[in-house]
Amino acid sequence: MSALKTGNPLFRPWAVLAGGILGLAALVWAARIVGRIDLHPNSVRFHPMIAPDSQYEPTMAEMRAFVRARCRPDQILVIVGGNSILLGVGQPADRVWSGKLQELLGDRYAVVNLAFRGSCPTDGGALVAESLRDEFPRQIYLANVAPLQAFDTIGIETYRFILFDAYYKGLLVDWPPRTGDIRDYLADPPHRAARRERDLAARADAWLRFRDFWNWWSATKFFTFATPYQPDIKLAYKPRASFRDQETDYDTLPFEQRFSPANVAADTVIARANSSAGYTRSATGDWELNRNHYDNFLRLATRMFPDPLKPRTLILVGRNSPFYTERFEPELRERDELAIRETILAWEKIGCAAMDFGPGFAVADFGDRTHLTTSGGVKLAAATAPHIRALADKLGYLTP
Amino acid sequence: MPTALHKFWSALPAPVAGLLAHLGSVAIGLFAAFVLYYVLYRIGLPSKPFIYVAF
Amino acid sequence: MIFTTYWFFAFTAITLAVYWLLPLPTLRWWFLAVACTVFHGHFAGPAGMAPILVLMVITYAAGLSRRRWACVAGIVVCALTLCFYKYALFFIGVAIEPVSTAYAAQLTDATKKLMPGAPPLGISFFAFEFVHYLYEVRRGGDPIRHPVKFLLFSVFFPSLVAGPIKRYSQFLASLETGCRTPVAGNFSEGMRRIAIGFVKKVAIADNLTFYIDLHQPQFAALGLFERWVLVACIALRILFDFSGYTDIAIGTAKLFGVDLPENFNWPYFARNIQDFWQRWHISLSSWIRDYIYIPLGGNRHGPVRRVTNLLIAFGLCGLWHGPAWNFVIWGIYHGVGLAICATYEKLPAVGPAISAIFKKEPLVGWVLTQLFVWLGWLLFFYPVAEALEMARLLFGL
Repeated sequence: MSALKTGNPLFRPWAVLAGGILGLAALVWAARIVGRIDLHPNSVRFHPMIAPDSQYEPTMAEMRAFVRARCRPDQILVIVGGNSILLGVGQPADRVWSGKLQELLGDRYAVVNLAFRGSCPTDGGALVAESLRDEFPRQIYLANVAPLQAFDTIGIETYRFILFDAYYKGLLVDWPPRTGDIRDYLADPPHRAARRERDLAARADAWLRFRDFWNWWSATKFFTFATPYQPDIKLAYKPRASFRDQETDYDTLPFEQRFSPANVAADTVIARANSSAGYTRSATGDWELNRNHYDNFLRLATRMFPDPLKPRTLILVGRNSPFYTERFEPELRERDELAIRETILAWEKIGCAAMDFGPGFAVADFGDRTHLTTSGGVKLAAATAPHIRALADKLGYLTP
Repeated sequence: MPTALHKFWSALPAPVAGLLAHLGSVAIGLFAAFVLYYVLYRIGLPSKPFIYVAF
Repeated sequence: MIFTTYWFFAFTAITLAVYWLLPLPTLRWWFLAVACTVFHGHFAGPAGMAPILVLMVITYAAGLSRRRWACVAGIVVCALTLCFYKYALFFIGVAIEPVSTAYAAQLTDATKKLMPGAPPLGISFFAFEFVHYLYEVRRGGDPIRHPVKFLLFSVFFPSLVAGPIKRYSQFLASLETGCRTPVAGNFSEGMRRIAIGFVKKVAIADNLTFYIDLHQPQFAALGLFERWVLVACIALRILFDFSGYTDIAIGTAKLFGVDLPENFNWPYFARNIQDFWQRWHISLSSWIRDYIYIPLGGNRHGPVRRVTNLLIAFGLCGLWHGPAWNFVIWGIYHGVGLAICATYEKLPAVGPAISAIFKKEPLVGWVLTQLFVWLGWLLFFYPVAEALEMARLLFGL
C-alpha cells in the first residue's frame, strides 16, 4: 500500500511536504489575484444561478470586484441592497428597475444591484457598500423594508456567510451592536456547533482565500460540484458563466388568474395584516400607534446600520399590490398610510433617508402581492431617482 | 514498483533518479495541497455526509 | 460529517502540533487521550458519550480481571447495549407488533423515553472493538492495563466514528512505536492518503450521488443502458465514499505515527464472493469471521453447518449496518453467495465443470461476482420491494 513500506525510491517525504507548502502558498497567492477579477461581466445582478439559491456563495472580493467593474472613481456609487423586490424578480435583466434607475440618474451615478432573494437591508449589498466606504466615499445605499419593519444587524441566516466573510477580513467599521450580535449568535447553545463551523470557515478563508479561488474557478473555468436546480441537466457540469439570467416577465394573464384562489386568499390575509401589529383602534375610532411594537421597531432599526453610514442610506418603504389594497375597507387603507408615514419619520429620526414606493402604482405594476412587473420597476425608478439626487446633494456629492 | 519500471529506474544515473524522485514527490505534495484547498471550500457548502457514518 | 468539517481540520492541526511538540511519548499519550475525549464530546455530545463511557469502564474492568465469566458478561453487555440503542425499536416492530399493537406502542414509547434522539455516535464500531478486546482477553490475550492506553484504543479519534475496526494488540504496538519520534515519511504518507480520500469523497462520490439522486426516482423511465449505468454509479459511489472515508482515517492516524488496518483492496477486481469479502470492508469481514463465523463452528462441521454459519454470520453482518429488513436481506444474500461459492465445486458432475470454466476464463468469474455484488447494492440502498423491482427492470423483464 504505502510507498514507504515498499521502499519506493520515488517517494521523498521532505519533498512531498515542501510541495504541499509550496502548493498552498501558490494557491493563496493566485486567489488574491483572481479575487480582483469581475467574474460576472455580463450580469446586471446576482441571479439565482450565481447566488445561494443554487448553492453558489459570492464572496466579498467577488462582489467588490463586481462593483469596481461598474463604477468609476469619479461616479457616485449607488448600491441596491434588500430583497427580491429590489433584485427585480419578475423583471428581465435588460429591463430590470435598477437599469432604468441608472438611465434616469445618468453617467454621474453608477447603480449596482446587489440585492438577493429573501435578503434584508443589512445583508450582502449593505456590507459591500460599507467595505467600499473609503474607496468610493461618494456612495448611496438603498434597501427596502415593509412598514414598521426592522432587522437584526447580522441579517438573514442564508446570507450570513457574507457577513462573516466581511467581518473576518476586517472590511467593516467597528459597530458594537453588530459585534455583540455576532458574539451572541455564535454562543447560542442549541446552534453552537453549526455556527462554530461557519465561524471557523470564515476565519480560515480570511487567511487562505479558498472561496475566492474556487468561485473564480467555478464561475469561469469548470464546475466545482454538480450545480443543483439548473434549468438543464447538461449545464450541471458547466461553469456558472454558462448560466444566463433567466428572469422573465410575469404572466400576461390578468392578476387574479395568475394565482390559485387559495393563494390569493392567503395573500389577502397577509396584505390585510400589513401594519396590524403597529396600531390599535381607539375608542374614538382613530388608529393609535402601538408603543411597544414601535419602540421595538425603533430599537432594532437604530442598530441596523453603523452610525457613520446612516446618512448615506436610503430606505424604501414598500407597498402591497393595489389588487389587494383596493379591496380594503377605507380604515384599513388609512392604517397602512399612517404606518408608511410613521416608518419614514422613524428612519429619518434615526439618521437615514427614507421614501415611500408611492401610491401611483396600478394593479398591472405588480406581478404578485409585492414584486413589481417591468412597468412597476419603471415607476419605482422614477420615484427613487429624485430622492437619490436630493440625498447626493445633501451629502455634498454634487459639489466638485 | 512494477518490474519494468524498477529496471528503468535502476538504469538511471543516481543524480537523475534523485532529481526525478524529488520532482515526483513535490508533485504529490502539490496535489495534496490542491485537494486540501478544494476541500476547505467544498465543506463550507451543503454536502452529503459519509454513508458509513450513519451505521 | 466529522471529516468534512472545519472543526475536524482545526482540531487535527492543533492536536498534531501539540502532540509532536511534547517532549516525551508518555506525555503524548496523555495529551492524545484528552484530545480524543474532547473530539468525542464535540461530535457525540454528553448523551452520546455517556453510554460509551459506561461500556468503556465495564470493558476495561472486565479485561483487567482476566476472568472468563467477566469477559463473557462484558461481551453480553456490549451486545445488549448495541441492540438496545440500535435495534430496540426494530425488534419491537418485528416481534411484538404482530402480536399486540397496543403493547408494542407502549413499549415503543417507553423505549424512546430511555433513548437519546439518535443512537450514540459510532456505537456499532465501539461495540465491535470492545467485543473483540474481551474475546481476545478471554482467550488468554494480555489485557490493556494502562487506563490511558485503553482510553486511546477506545476513542482514538481518526477511527472513532466509522472505523476501520481496530485490533487492540496491533493498535497499541503501532502507537507505542509511532509516537516515539516524528517521521517525515509518516506526514507525507498521511497527507497523501488524506488527499486521496477527499478526492474519492468530494470529487467522485458526491458527484455520483448527485447523478443517482437525479435519476433513481425515474428508474423505470430510463433506458436499459442508463439503468445499468445507474447501478454502476451506485456501486462506485459506495466504494469511493467508504474507501475515501477509510483513507482519511488511515491518513490522519498516520500523521500521529499510528497504523490503522486497511479496509479495502480493489474489491471490484474480486473474482468470487469469498475474494470480494477479503477485499471489501476488510476490518468488518475479518471481525465477522473471527468473532461470529468461527465461534459458530466455521467450516469445521460439514457443509450444512458451514452454510448455516455463513447465513447467520452474514445475516448479522447485514443487520449491523442498520435496523432494517433490506440490510438483513442484503447480508443473507451475501451469505447465500458465499455458501454457493464455498460448496458448488462439490456438486456432482456440474461442480467440477463450472470450476473448470472459471479457471480457464477468469473473466467469467469476475463478471458474475461483480454482477452479484452490484445487484446486492440495490438491496443495501433501497427497500426490498423497490430493489427487486429495480433488479427486474435491469433485465428488461
